[in-house]
Amino acid sequence: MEQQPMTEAMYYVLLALLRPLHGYGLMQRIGQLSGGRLTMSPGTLYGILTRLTREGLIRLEEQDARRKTYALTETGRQALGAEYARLCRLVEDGAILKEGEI
Amino acid sequence: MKRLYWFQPDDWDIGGMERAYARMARRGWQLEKRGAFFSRFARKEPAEVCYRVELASPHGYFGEVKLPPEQVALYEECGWQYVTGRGLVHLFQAPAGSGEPELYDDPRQQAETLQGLRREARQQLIGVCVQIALYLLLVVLNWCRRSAHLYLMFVQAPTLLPLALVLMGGLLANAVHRVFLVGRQYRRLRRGMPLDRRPQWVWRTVRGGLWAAGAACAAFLLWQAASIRTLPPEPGQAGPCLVLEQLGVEGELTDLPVGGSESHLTATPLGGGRYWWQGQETRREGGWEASLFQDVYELGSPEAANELRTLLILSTTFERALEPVEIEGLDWAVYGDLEAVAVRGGRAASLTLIVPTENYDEQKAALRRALEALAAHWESLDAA
Repeated sequence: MEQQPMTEAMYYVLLALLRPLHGYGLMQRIGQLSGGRLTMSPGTLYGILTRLTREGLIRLEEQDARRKTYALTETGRQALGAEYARLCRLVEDGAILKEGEI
Repeated sequence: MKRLYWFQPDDWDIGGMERAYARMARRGWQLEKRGAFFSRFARKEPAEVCYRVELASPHGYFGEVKLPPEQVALYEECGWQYVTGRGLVHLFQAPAGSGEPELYDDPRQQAETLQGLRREARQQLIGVCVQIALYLLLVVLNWCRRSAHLYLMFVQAPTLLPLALVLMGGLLANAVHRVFLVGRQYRRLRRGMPLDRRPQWVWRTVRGGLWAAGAACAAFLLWQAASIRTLPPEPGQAGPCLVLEQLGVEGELTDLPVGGSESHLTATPLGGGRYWWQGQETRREGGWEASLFQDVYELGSPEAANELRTLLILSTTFERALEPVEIEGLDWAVYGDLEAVAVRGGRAASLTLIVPTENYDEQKAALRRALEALAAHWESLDAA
């Protein structure tokens, strides 16, 4: 079954978790990856992390008393790859815009 | 350290909570803890503080639902300090204007956090409806065969029924409004619009009106209770009531046969110059005992007194034994073996007279003489 398109926020969270990170570090990494374009509020990020964990796309790598470090699962890595491929196809299909054809 | 306990804003008024606690912080009272009805504050330096509410997972049911420690840690790393929480509601604070990101930048994400509050609101509404239905059922079951006594109670305490309606109406209105408001917030967030933190002026006006009405009704009842006069059952001090001495019964005043309290009269104001007099008197001499129980209503208008006479008849024990009687000086009267009801002008009275006799004919004759004495007494009061 074809994967549902991800939201931009979910995509960047998975992208940032190519290396394991805790919550605040993840926010900073997302800002870096998006060139400052995407800033995520802590509540929004926490909600996404909870959902991705529930869907099996990320897992808990390690935790101390209060902080949790997250990492991609194999399923999450595949989903990220599939989403990237879908986005690439969209860009390729949109190349006609540069050629001036509508 | 100085502490203050103050009424706390409603859980479902997220904007109201945030504004109220920020206002207290500006006045030098820092929120410490939220209770069931009151918040506790500690005296600190006045500060410009921004509060934000975070709602816990919808898995909670009216109990303490803690936020996950990693969520609190994440928020604190972003500059929000955890203050306190109770039930589904948790509060974070940050210095105003310090640039901390809002807790949510995706309203649709935030909408899911309202699910627990929505469920609580619906359950509370059901609970209030069940509660009110039970109250009404108890009233009906308790009073269905004594409805006249219930209506008389509302005559004797005129604001009792309005107070009950205001209380029940207020409970219901609060529960309905809560469901409506939380539902509207949820739909707004689902459409991608931010949380509406504006003051709920319409609801605050309605609620203020209900509070004012309830307070006015309660104040009247308190004034009424404080104004009750208790008098000895003696001629010249009994107002529109009869006393046994006026009927030629001269035994010693004694305690009532039921309840054992002293013989007495009470005068209760009903507002607008109206009064309810209640007399309970027992006299004893030798081996015999006579008792007179009466309720006299001074209602100010013949129409009101005539309206009341039906209720007074229904409240008697031997209603079917009552028959009409012509008494000079009374507009209308009925009497039986032990009980009588009479009306003159703006006064209506219900009497129960028990005299030591051998047969019902003498008892009934004594009751007729009591009605004649009552007519003469009321005539003299009207002439004075």
